[in-house]
Amino acid sequence: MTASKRERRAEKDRELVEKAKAGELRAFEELVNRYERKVYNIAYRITKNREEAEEVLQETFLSVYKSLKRFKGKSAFSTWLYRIAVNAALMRMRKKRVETVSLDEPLISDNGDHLRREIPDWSTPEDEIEKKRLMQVISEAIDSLPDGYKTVVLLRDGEGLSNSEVAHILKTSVPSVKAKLHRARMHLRSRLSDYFTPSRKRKERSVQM
Amino acid sequence: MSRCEDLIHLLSDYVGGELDRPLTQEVEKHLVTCARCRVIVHTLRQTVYLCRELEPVDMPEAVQKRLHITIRQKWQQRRISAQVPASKEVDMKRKEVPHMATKKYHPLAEMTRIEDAFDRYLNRFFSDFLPLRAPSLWPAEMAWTPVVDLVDKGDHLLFKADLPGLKKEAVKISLSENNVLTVAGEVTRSEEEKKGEYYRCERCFGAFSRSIQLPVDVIQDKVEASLKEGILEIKLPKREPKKTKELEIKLK
Repeated sequence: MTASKRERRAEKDRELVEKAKAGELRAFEELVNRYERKVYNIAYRITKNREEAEEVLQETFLSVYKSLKRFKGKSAFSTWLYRIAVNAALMRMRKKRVETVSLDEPLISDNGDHLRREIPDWSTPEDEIEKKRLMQVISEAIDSLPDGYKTVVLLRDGEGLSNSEVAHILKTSVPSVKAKLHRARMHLRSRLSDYFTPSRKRKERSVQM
Repeated sequence: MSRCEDLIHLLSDYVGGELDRPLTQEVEKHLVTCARCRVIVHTLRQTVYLCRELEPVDMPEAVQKRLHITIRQKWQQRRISAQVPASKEVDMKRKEVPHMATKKYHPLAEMTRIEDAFDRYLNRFFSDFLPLRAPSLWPAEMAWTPVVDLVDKGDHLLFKADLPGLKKEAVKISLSENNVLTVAGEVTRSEEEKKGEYYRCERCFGAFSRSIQLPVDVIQDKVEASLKEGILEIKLPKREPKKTKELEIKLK
């Protein structure tokens, strides 16, 4: 989305928020229409479960409805909404994972792909089929990222938000977002390279004793 | 080699166009000479592109419908708790109206709030004795959800829903390919029923729709449904999961 388009969108959001605050259901419903798919999508990508995505969706908009009066518009409505949605989704994941001990995000590696002798260049897919396959692989690779990295990739690359917006949503700093983004992107790139390196693929399939 | 190592942490910012000029130039100078890093940059750029192009998951219509119903109900609850006078009554019989008119707040609203609170208090007191002003003010007219059970019965799932007073013709059942079962219909109030002043109006009327994601695959064309004495029963035979062969691996 271009900057001016985003600005126009934010402007319209502000208008709708004001109307909704004044008690116009219509305006609130319009806000819901604008963002329900985005919220559902990100909730699904984080939880990987349709029922939970729906619950996060409902939770998010009910929460928005309840606290709309307190929303002062210091940040964009969308940023505020994403924050509520992402928190709701992450909270669910945390509740599910009781066995986790570490408080830190596990580190992901890029498999030292750049140290390999041969790096496959898959940057220009031959046809639609191959592009589809790439999409499939990257989608799975994103799913397997630790939550902290996953949310950064989804918000920054998936939703096209800026570093500072992502930092705001995740209550962290811009350098931290950048660092996570770099690691995550390199990791994803490496996973795609694995896919195009036949010898590595064979190795992963063999049974290890 | 060491040069590559030095520059690799800059590549994400580089493909995002977020590096300052001197660093950009440094990376580009290196790329001219290093084919390996060029491949990394190309594939990294493609990675970011793929992330951007990622298709959003489709949101089922039923999910959207439920969200909007919930929101309207919440909104309506607030409105009803604020006791709108009958003269400002909103026609709630139109179930599928996308946008419902609501009571607008005006500057005086703040001042009348205390009054409203007192009204509410009195109303709660007398509501048991006084007839409701209009039965159509009841939120149940708008939308309701039947209560359901879903039971695992070994070889099949059993879905039950309470649909009091409903005829077969008024219920629609559908099963989507990704195993979402939807039961929808409408309970209508006869003209005879609409007459008279209501002291209590708690029974549900209006359109309803309930969708449930089934936990397992079912055989679509062997689903049986029956509606007896206001209870809907749907029997959904499970599809046998494909048996995977177990492979024994011998220790050398």
